[in-house]
Amino acid sequence: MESDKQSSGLCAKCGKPAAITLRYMPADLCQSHFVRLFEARVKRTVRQHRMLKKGERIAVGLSGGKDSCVMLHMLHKISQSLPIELHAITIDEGIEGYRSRTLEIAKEQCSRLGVPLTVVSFREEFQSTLDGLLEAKGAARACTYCGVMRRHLLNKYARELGADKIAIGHNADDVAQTVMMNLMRNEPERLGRFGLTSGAVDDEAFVKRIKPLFTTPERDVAAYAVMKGIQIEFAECPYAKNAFRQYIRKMLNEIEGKYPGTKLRVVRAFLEQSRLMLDGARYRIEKAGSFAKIGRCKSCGEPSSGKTCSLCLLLERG
Amino acid sequence: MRLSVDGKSIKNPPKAKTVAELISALGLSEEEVLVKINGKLSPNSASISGEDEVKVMRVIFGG
Repeated sequence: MESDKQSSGLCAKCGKPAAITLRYMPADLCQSHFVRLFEARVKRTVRQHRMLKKGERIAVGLSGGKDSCVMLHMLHKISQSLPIELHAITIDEGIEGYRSRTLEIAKEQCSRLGVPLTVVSFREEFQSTLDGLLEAKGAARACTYCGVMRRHLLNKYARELGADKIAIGHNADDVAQTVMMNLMRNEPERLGRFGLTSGAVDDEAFVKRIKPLFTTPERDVAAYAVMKGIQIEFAECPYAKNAFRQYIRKMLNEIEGKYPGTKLRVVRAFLEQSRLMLDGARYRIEKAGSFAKIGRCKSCGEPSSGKTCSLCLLLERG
Repeated sequence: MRLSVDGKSIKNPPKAKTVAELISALGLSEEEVLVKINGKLSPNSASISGEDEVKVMRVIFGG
């Protein structure tokens, strides 16, 4: 098999027995050299894109899944040498049989690392769990509802905490999927706003976002968690099967199997072109005049480019 | 080989000499799994023998 040819069974750095095959390199690495590679890559991404500054307060979006738990672990590690203040925020959407376990993991991780945690629930904020909301709306657009509602709450609570930035656990697989989805939906402006940091328009009501795992493949995140004994739950959101992203994920993994390194090449291509796309998005917003500028939603008062924000439109408020 | 996938024991595991062969025989993608042999994470070319305890973990999920 092709992968056998790429895997010698010995670490490419030290010749000791390997723990993992990284076909995108391609190389086998022992646990020690994999951990070094992983941590160096995350730190380099953070440094190169100036994601963190001394003294900043960082709100960490912590779902309790593997990506956000590993990101918290890495930010905590970085905070040992760069004084930053971490405060985790967990959104409890109310997804039966899924979120309760990851919520416990989030609490355990924060307790272990000494990071304060704020838990915010859909039930308290929107008077309904996601399960309850989707009973009325149908599960077909579950990820749209969940995404808009989660982003709204993360931004609101990060702002209330006085956070300078929100750290999001998007990994390289998420990025490659998002790039492909936006291309297939012909949404260049949405793609222009997407990136390592946010966004096309600065507004004091929007807390800037950073994505420290942007260049790290998802499988590497899982391997790091296993190697470092970071407690994780390998479980899938029950609504994920309805998502367009799921098809894109499957397609990209099939291509990756045949042509290793494809996902990272999509991420690199996006990074090279993102500056141009961001400039384009800013240009179009400027050209559109005040209509496209960030105002306030007439219903909830949160920042919005329209009269009513995406959340209130979805929830048919206002 | 004693085989489990995502914590569930597989009664009649497929014949496979290496991790890569096992992943392929299970119809899984190497991009989506990690494999432990006798408690140790193992690369794709690692050999599997009859006495080994093999755990396959699917690690890429939506959500």
